[in-house]
Amino acid sequence: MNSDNRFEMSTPYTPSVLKPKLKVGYYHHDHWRDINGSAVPFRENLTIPHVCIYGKDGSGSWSTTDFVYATTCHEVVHVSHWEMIGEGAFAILWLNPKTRIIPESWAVAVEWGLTNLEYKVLGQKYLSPQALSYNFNYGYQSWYLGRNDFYTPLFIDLIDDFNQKTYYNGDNRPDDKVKNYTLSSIESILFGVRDYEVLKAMLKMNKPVGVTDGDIDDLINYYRNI
Amino acid sequence: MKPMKTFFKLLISVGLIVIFSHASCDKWVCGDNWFVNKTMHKINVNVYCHGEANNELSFHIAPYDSINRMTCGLGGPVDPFTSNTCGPDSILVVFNDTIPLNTFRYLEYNPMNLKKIGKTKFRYEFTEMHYQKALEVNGYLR
Repeated sequence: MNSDNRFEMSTPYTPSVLKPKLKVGYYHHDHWRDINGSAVPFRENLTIPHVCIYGKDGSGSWSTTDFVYATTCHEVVHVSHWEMIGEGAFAILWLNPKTRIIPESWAVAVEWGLTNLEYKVLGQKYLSPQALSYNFNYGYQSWYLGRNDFYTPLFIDLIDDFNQKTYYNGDNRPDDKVKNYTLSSIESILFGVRDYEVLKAMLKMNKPVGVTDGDIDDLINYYRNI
Repeated sequence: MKPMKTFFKLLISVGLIVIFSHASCDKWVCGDNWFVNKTMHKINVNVYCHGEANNELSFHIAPYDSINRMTCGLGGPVDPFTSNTCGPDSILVVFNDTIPLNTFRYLEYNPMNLKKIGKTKFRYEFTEMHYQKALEVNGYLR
């Protein structure tokens, strides 16, 4: 995947003498745990890949191929984030329930972007209107407070032009007036982000035209207070 | 004391391995979305995407009955009114096949706002309030 078809984001993983190539493995089912994917970038084992993707869920049902693709992107984004900020910082972010929203929601945003892109390419190739209008999980825009604690549309909300609060109503949805950030600009910001205050400050320093500091505060504070 | 020190070191190492071996495990979670009809009227919940009715997401409930719509997603169940090709433009609650209530115009009656009643259990109740509102907006109540 070159930088053009990954929204100019950085290479997710760079092997070196001490770091072997990233191994991504597919299995039909994880018989021990009810999971669809896992990423353990620091695991060095000749037989187990760093990233594992599972075709079946805990109940034994097959996942659809778009979901398998999205899950693969999701897990590789974790590896990329881990490599970008370092193992210690990533562990602090991920293990703290208050900040785990950041790595998980970042992975959600990239999986959404890349899966949609894949379907757009397929739609153009096969002239399929359904593929061209495809929007993975509808951009997580129907998410609301209490439905899912970590996998939120926080970073998708920075990119899209859709305000869930006015569209769906209710205080259980974020007032999303922020738009026009890109995946690559957010990735650059995440390099130094360890908490919500830094995230807000970095977003304000790099805000697109038309976005105010207040809009950023409203959006990020909403997710911070989950 | 040396065996104790070694034991504690081993314990810490095992703890770290357990923590890190579970790092970034993304779980597919399914949940129950219960829709309860507490009225004496038959209810059709018609979901419209891009101006067209969506059969996959629409459903109906008999009087004083309930139905369960199971949905799954990474980390938690996704919204029962959304799919990869459908983000609803409107959700019509139709009573007895005749009296519609556009819940996107009267958002306080929007069934997308399910209440969380358990870790993966959600519930929404259609009550007499919905019916009265439907009557009102259709001009049956003055």
